[in-house]
Amino acid sequence: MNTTLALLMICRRSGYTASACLETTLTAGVYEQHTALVLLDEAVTLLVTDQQTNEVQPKNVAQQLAALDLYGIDIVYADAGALACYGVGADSVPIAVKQLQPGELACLVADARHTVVF
Amino acid sequence: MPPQDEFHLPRAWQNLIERHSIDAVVCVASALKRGIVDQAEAQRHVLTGSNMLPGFTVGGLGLLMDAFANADRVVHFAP
Repeated sequence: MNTTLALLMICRRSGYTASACLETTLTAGVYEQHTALVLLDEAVTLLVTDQQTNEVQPKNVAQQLAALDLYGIDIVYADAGALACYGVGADSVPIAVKQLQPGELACLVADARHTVVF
Repeated sequence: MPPQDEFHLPRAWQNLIERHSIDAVVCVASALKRGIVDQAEAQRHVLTGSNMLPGFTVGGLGLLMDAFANADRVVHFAP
């Protein structure tokens, strides 16, 4: 676990909320804030590849996800239980993620200077 | 704008920030998405009027990052 995080962004939802979370996380990268992103609950569905969002309007977050690494956000956690619950295979996701095991989130929150939940 | 016999939450916020001189910043993207604009945004979007209560200012994510960097704590209210 990292002990020098300035910001811990926790996303629990998909859709617009997830897009806003990614936007904020990318901005944190621009401002060189050492930031980690945590995907919990339905937010792990962001990791499903080839999403076709045109029919239902929400912004496709694939480009935002791909940009995380470019913006210096190289620590992305996905809750292992949620991945299993939503049938998202950790080996088939479009970006590198670390699976978050029960109990690890508390350590991340304790070690981060600020935690923001979306 | 709530009905007259209901609690006026926006005005309560306004009273709070005025009484305690709080720097109250509204996310410009979220406000626009919900049809709330200050005078500058109204002009930029060629609208005839603004509807943001006095006391609030609009800001972007850069301002939020500055707040994160300088605040001793972040308090978050989730629905």
